[in-house]
Amino acid sequence: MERFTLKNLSGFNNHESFSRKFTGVLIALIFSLFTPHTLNAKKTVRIESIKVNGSTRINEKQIVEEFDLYRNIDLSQKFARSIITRMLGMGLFQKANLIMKKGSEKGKANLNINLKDDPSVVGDWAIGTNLQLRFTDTHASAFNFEGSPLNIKAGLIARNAFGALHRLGTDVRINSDGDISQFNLGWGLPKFAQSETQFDFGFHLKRPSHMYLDLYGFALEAYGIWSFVIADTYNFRYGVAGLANRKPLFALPHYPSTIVGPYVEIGTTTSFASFLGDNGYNIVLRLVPSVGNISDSYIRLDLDQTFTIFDKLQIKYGGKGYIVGDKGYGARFEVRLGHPFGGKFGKFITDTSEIFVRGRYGRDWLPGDDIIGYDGTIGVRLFSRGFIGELGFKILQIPSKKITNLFSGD
Amino acid sequence: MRFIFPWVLSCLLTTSLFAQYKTIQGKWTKINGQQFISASFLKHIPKDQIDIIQSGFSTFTRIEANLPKGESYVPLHFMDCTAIYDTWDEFFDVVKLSPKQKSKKVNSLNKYGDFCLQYLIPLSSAIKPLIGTNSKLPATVLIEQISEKQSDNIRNWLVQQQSPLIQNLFSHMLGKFKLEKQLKFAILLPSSLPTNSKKKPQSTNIGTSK
Repeated sequence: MERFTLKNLSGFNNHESFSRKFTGVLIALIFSLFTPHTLNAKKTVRIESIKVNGSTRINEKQIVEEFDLYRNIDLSQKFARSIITRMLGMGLFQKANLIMKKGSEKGKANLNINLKDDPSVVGDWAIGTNLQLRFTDTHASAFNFEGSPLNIKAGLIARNAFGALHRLGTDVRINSDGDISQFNLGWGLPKFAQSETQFDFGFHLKRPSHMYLDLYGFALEAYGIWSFVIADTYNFRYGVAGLANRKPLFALPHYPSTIVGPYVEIGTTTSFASFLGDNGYNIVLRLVPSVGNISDSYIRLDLDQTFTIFDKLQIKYGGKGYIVGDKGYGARFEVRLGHPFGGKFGKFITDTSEIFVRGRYGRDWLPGDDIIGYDGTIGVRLFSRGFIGELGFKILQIPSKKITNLFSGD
Repeated sequence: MRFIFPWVLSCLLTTSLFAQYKTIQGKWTKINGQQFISASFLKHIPKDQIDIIQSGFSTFTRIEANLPKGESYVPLHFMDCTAIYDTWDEFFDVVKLSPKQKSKKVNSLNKYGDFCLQYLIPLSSAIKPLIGTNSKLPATVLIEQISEKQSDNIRNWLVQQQSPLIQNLFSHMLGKFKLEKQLKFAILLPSSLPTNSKKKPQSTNIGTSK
């Protein structure tokens, strides 16, 4: 009698993750308690040569620079484990193993670093692409937008840009009339591990008439920031920021045309922003004191939480609130439900997919006239081999009120 | 005719799922007078995993089997080992992680396999009815250089690297963060009870109990 069934196999997989959660802590404890005492963990071996196998995303020279792992170094078990951890923490590899081979004499070894590329991004630059097609408009009618709701967003990320461990993310959104409604560019220097400070530069442009709910007081934002982690929990970022509104196309009314100043951010995040999201929360507070006019200073607080019910239904809710000195303040709220489906079907293209529903509401309290907008979208997202495709449709979009010649008197 | 296609499709899907599970024949072994079903995994471990075991760095292994119960499975005990291979003198320094921690030095891969990659299932009342029914117990073997706790740390590092300026940098990673590779097997239970245990089998707990 054959006892394996498809149903049973499914149950087995569920149990597998369940049991691992509960036993993982115990085993990690036992592992850490027993290993240093019973195995010769402090013993070091001198490395005579280093060879990288399985990936062209990193070479021996970069390993020397990033991990201080050079020839004739005395390699301990602890140092080896830290190298593996940091290598995997680069986000480029699915697997990293260190294999020692017998050296020229006792106490010496040749080191092979066996890597397996993370298949969710492709090529030496670790590139991911996305294409979004939405038949929905997120503008508020305050901006007299009368175009087509069809818009296309194309994006690209590279976790190993220029083959030099640089990080890159860019996307552009164009509507059917050919107008650019959004452009984002982010670039980061190497230094990918937690122990290092990282530098990122970002430029964001959003057109209020099309992207009202994605704006937080300013249509143009530029940042150059360094970031590091405090107490393994809090992200601290500092640098310089420039925020601007430029009439007629890239401006929210009544807010300052330009503020420039130092940038300070403190926050904590537990949610990993992977394809299907991750349970957890984000709390981020940003400050940009305006150098030119302190009464234009910018404060923004982001809060969101993601949790899962009914095994797979993921719910994310949150909001962003900001104050721009004495000029005005605003808030954005979002609720999103996502449910994964699909999976691997042999060599079929789709690896995994998600159906989602999203509702958003935003309001700016301004002298004279408030702006209110909200929208709703239902869509489906597909992922395969470094590519994310998304198709969305409008289910709700009721702009608040028309404000004609909004900028005429400003 | 319309029933043939779903039947063929079902067969193909079932076959492809079973193909993930390499079958290991369970054999009777008598230890200290007690009967165990023994499953030896060493010969079925791929070369890249053997390389990890012989890497010269500390390696963690875990074997876990599951017992069918109704339409799902309940876990049997798991068996954990850590080991370091001395690449020059070619011996393994092995520790079995259990309430009665055992350590030893072994000078061959086969002896390492006997110590760390051989799973023993006591002849309990839960196992006995399955003997002779061609039943299989799903089992997993995990071989890693890093612990599960370190995997969690790596995930946290990636979470903290989510710069707001480089949007969606990790958007292409799929679902839960998973680094380790688990090998999946099916232990085929023996076709008959051992001759001296048919009357009154005894239940025995071995390894690390849950």
